[in-house]
Amino acid sequence: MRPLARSALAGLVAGMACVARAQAPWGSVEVGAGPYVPSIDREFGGTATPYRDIFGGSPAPMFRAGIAKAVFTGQGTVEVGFRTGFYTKSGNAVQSTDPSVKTSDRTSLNVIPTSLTVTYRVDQVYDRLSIPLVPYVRLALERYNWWVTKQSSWVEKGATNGWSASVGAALVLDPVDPSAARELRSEVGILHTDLYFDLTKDWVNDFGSTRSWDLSNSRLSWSAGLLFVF
Amino acid sequence: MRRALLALLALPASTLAQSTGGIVANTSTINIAQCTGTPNTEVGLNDTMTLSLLWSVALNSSVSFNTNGVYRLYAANQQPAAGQGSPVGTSCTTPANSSATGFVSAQVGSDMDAGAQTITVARDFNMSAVIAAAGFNCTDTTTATVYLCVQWVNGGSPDGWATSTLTLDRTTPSAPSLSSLSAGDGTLYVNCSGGDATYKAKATSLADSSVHFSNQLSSCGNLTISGLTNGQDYSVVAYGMNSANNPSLASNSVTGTPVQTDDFWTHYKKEGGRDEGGCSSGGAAGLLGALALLARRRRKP
Repeated sequence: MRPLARSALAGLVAGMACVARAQAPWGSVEVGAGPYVPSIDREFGGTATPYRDIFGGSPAPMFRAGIAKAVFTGQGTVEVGFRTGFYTKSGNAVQSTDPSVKTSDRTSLNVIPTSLTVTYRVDQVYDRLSIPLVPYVRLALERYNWWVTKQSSWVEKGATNGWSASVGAALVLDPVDPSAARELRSEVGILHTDLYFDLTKDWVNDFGSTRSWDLSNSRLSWSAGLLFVF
Repeated sequence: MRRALLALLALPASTLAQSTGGIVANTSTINIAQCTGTPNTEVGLNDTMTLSLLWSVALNSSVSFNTNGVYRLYAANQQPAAGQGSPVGTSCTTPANSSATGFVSAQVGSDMDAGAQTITVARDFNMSAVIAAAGFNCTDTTTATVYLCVQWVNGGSPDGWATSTLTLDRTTPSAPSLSSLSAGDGTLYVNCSGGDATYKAKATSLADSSVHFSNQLSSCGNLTISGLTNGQDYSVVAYGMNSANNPSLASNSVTGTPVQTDDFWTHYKKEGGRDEGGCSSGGAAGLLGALALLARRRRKP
């Protein structure tokens, strides 16, 4: 190894030691949102589009909030957590005799997504290298409780299960305002405040059941929000 | 209402005795229907016809209240003359009805038992009787002030009194303009415009002449008439109401037909959707299986 390279490596190791986190995280809390369009029309193979007929094709936000407990804090952090949220989309009911005609009656699809999650955060990237970006991956068991209303009255309800996989990155905001970060750490116990962005592929169709509709997001979905590491 | 009277009564007794007594009513305004005593069924309005009053009389300083006297309610079309006695114990009826001045005042109903100086259980009167006593004509198209006076009479001349005023509103607002109807399941949605305080719409079946009213709202664009028969034609008009709840003439008429509608779930099923609603057993089994797999792997050393 050349002397210059050895010096650089020694400096990097020294730097890693300097910024090493003194306290292991308890876990994290996150709040965020992302666009959601369920794949209900997929089962019809293009012959019918009941979801699009009433709600159109534009996405509506699915809001999520979650809490996770760190169960491993060696090389990175592994968290198990629980998330829930809310999604609602309203549209005009269609005429029974001619579904192509929309009426003024309102109907809505409402979803409460709940998830059991396992997340692995590569937080040594920030802790040891001072790069304020924490990549992570997540697997989740999903359960979407849903109900349909017409003119504010319940029509049908149910639950659809599935799973999802995500990959994302959290931008650590602490360097933006170090003094505020120190205050949050000392007074509230928030070790880091992150802005996260992730991509998710989900399969929420009762694991392929032929008696369930498909509430998977119709495309590779993204979500963004804030993450607080305690 | 009672709270307002209690606030009034919170005044020191000496202050009350030296000032005018108080009357608290269940309304500050009487409209045309209440004036005539005939509910406006054409517009589906159901205003109360009862004037409920609470009062506390101020006494002449030379007397004390006792239960031997009676109460009398007077209504007048002008403010009674002041300075008739000390205090103005006879002001309700003086000057007497006068064709020269146009002053009209008359007692409403019979004498009432005077069990207490302060009445805390409302006494009810017919609004149209109050207006008639004050000599007002309900067909006029103006607003006017109705002067109320309760006397406490113990033997001879009144020794206690309480006064208040009401507004008699005989004006009518302008009719709204009904622009369109849209159909729902047993429902017609009315879209109209106008500058009135509240609005109401009426649907009359062209098949059986049955009449249905919307809710009464402050916005003309959100009136909903429900309880209609799908496939039947209805003639719809809208009315505007002023703050006294006097209705306008009917708007222009528009005909609409409610239709059977399908909500999202019904539409999905009609298209052949496979979901059965509820918590499907297949999905639950899959979820439990996945959880069991996780638990099993966790137990491994």
